[in-house]
Amino acid sequence: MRQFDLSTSNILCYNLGMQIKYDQIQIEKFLNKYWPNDLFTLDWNNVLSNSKDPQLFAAFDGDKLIGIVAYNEGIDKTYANLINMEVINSYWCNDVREALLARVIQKSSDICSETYIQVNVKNGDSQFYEDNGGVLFGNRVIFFPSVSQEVIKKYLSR
Amino acid sequence: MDSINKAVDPTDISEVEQQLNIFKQVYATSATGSADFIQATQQDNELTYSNVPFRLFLLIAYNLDHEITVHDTAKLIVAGARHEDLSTVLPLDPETKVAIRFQEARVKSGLTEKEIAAKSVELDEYKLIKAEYARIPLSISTWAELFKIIGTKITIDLF
Repeated sequence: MRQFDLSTSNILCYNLGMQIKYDQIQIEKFLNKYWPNDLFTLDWNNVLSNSKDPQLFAAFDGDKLIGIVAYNEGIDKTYANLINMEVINSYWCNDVREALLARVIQKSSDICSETYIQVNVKNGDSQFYEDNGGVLFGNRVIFFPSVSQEVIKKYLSR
Repeated sequence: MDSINKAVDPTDISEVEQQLNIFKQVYATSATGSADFIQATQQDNELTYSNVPFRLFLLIAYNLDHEITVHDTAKLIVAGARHEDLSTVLPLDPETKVAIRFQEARVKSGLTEKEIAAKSVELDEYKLIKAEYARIPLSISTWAELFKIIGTKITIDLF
């Protein structure tokens, strides 16, 4: 039985109708212009400096940074590795997380001939990815190509 | 945590299993964006997929009758490092064993699923991908056609 996600249940979705923009952004520009940022809980400077060749997509509401996803190439370019994603809680109901995931999937088709996405997750942190079709193997969530295409179809235009 | 980045002999089952358990502990106890967590994921992926190709790992994990364990993963890594037949490492049904052999042979041949499907009388690309993950059963004659297309002969131990 799926657990009810208390973390999202009481979020007031006041951002409906906002024009959210998504951009691929250079790490240096991101750190210079948008970091540090009190709205985020992860230390993204730390995430990026510890990751091998990360790339970034960011989501903006106007000029305000509201979401970040980092990814890189997997071994032998057979998959793309989603390193981490964070979206300000009040934007979860705008499908910003889903839209960022869709952008990583689409971009990964440039890296790999077939679009496999892997996310290494902390114990119990896989719900969002599983809800979007990812399959959990231990601490890995995998998006198979057919599921990846569904995510793109559904969320890339957001 | 220095032990995350420790060099491991991938042919030594106890070393590999110990290292995978260290990664597992990090996943359970470290914060998602911490240096330990990120380094553990990178080292874990490197150790696993350098020895067991990503898609073969998925195929095997997907078709086990239980959730893949640290011990299972360690056995696969060691077998991969020793260039042993990965289809015989864990208890798998005959369909999955054939699918593993097919996937290995197809990758070696350099042919894509699309190219093989174009030459196949019986399967389109979508069905071929499913078959390659043992998600649909194929008759022996269909498997024979596919192996013939990639120019590989196989012997299958069903038991």
